[in-house]
Amino acid sequence: MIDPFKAIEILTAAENRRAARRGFLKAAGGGAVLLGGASLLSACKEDENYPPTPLPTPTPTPTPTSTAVTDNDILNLALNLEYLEAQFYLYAVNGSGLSSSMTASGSGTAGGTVTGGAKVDFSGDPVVGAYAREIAADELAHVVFLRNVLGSAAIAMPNINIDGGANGAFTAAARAAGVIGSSDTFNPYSSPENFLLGAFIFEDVGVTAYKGAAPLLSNKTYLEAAAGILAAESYHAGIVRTVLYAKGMSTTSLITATTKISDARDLLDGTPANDDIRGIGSDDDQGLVGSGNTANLVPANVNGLAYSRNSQQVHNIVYLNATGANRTGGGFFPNGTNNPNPSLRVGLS
Amino acid sequence: MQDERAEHDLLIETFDGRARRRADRRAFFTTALGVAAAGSAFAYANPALAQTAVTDSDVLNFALNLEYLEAQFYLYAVNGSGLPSNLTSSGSGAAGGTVTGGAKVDFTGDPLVGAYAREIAADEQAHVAFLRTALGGSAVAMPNINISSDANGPFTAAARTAGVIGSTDTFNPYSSPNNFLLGAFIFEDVGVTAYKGAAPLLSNKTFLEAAAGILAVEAYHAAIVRTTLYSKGVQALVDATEKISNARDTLDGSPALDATRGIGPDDDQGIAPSGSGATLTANLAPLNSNGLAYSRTPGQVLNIVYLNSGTATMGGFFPNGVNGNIKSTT
Repeated sequence: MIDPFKAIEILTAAENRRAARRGFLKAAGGGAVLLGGASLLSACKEDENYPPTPLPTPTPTPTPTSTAVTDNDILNLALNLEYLEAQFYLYAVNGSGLSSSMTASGSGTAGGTVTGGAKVDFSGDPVVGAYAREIAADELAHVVFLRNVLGSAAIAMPNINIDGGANGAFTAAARAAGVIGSSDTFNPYSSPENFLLGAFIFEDVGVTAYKGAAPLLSNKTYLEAAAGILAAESYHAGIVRTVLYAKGMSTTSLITATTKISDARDLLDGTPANDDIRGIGSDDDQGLVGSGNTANLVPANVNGLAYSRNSQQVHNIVYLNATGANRTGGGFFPNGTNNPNPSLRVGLS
Repeated sequence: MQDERAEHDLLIETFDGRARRRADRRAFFTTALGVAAAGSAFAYANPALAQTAVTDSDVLNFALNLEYLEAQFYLYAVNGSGLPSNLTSSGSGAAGGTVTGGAKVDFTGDPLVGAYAREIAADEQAHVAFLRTALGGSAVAMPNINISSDANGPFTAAARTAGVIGSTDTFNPYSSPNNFLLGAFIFEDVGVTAYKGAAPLLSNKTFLEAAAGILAVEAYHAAIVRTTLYSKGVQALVDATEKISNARDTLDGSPALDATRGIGPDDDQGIAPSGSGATLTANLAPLNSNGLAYSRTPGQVLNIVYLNSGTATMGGFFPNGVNGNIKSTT
């Protein structure tokens, strides 16, 4: 199996060389066809044989079957996930989501629609409400930050489903995980505890997504910023897991639910070969209890490192699809995520 | 997989080679000057010893020092004893330093906190083991560490400076689960900012990903500690975190603001919430205006663990300084 990280490094290097050459061709009036640079130079060369004798056309450079991933592509991948988290938390806290100016693309194309979302009644659990407000503010800040960094390259928000009804993404996820029966409904907005389980679905995934993507960034400032969001999502996940665990001491169904959700995510995201240094493996997700019923608030591998997921694995989870049949959309992103690079919009093959 | 291991071995050999050359240079200066290179004002000011470029090995060894400290604190709190000697010796076999202080905490009154302490202790030991394996022969030995609870210890010094206790009182992080949580609070956010500031210095992409993995775990730890402290609903605990946070801000100086990189004069936050009632908003994640965690330079981190806002190469939790090439606050 091709190591996606190695492949991306190789493609990026090759892409840089091709981009340099394309730039030259563009400046010289060349069209979209890629020719060997030498032939164009020869054609332009002034010599006594003007007009020049046409040289045999060299074999065109083969069009690459996949486009190399750029820093902007990675930041846009992150932006899609932040759109999803921000909408969920903002609806839970305010009963409304991001403003349209916050979901349009950087060049002004309108963002997609949000299906579902509702304000949670935190009056019975004001501390969880305080956590929800904090996390919502952070996710909004992440959306704003990434959009500012990307500028005109910021992608528009795709259509998002955070519906708590029978046909919504949360119900589909909960049924698939076995948290509820096959004809039951899971509404993450109906109680603070349900809200926490809804949050649990996202936060660890956000951590693994940033951890997998951050090392791919070439710009050191972006890398440091991505590490800053990685840490923020880890704080969030830590908050959610700590609160759920404490509540789970008296409501054991919460603990069981996290185990089932974790197992479902493990099932969805495939079985990459183990690499305990990079945090990759077939079992890259953990619920709140470990062997011997010990507390497991930190999902970490044998080296005490958080796990990494690649883009396809993350998409498999958010699309709620493990078969590959609908690898271009589903679940929380019914029409897929948005990205100028098609390889960052799909789940596992 | 086989290729990656070979690549790691090669990198470790390279680090070893560099470490040996630097060690040789230090040995020369030590012999010539007749003083230990560490802790000598002359040696510190000597430009020949100044670090011109930080290597991956330097960064990982810097992190290893911090993990030694955290691991010892948590292991003593949980077990009443610390790291085994085979996890504190240098990669070339020189014995590690001593631990002053440390004691088992009685968690019977707060078994949840005891469970958290055991989990965190296991993670920190795993970090020590992992970094030592990654560094191989280049791993520094554990320096002398002070985690004592007595009146002359660093916890008391830190608590007095922060105003958490009076100027003649003592702070013992092992005397109760709540005190243990405050002791942990001193370390965990610092660990996050240390890894965040250091990770971009790494050139090897695999080590970078691993460092990001430790960064994330330290943030999970910090969140556990902060959430647990907040959820106890005890104002004095919240106030203590604000005081400790302000003390760390004072110790680590005032770098110019860079909200993209997470750098700034105010790079630390306690857990006091904002708002009230329907607008009550927690502050369990210490993040800047962009929602990003903060970065500290290695020097700033040392300001905090040495409990010294000025130029220093030792003090506080590391009475003889950390080991390795990154050991000064400036």
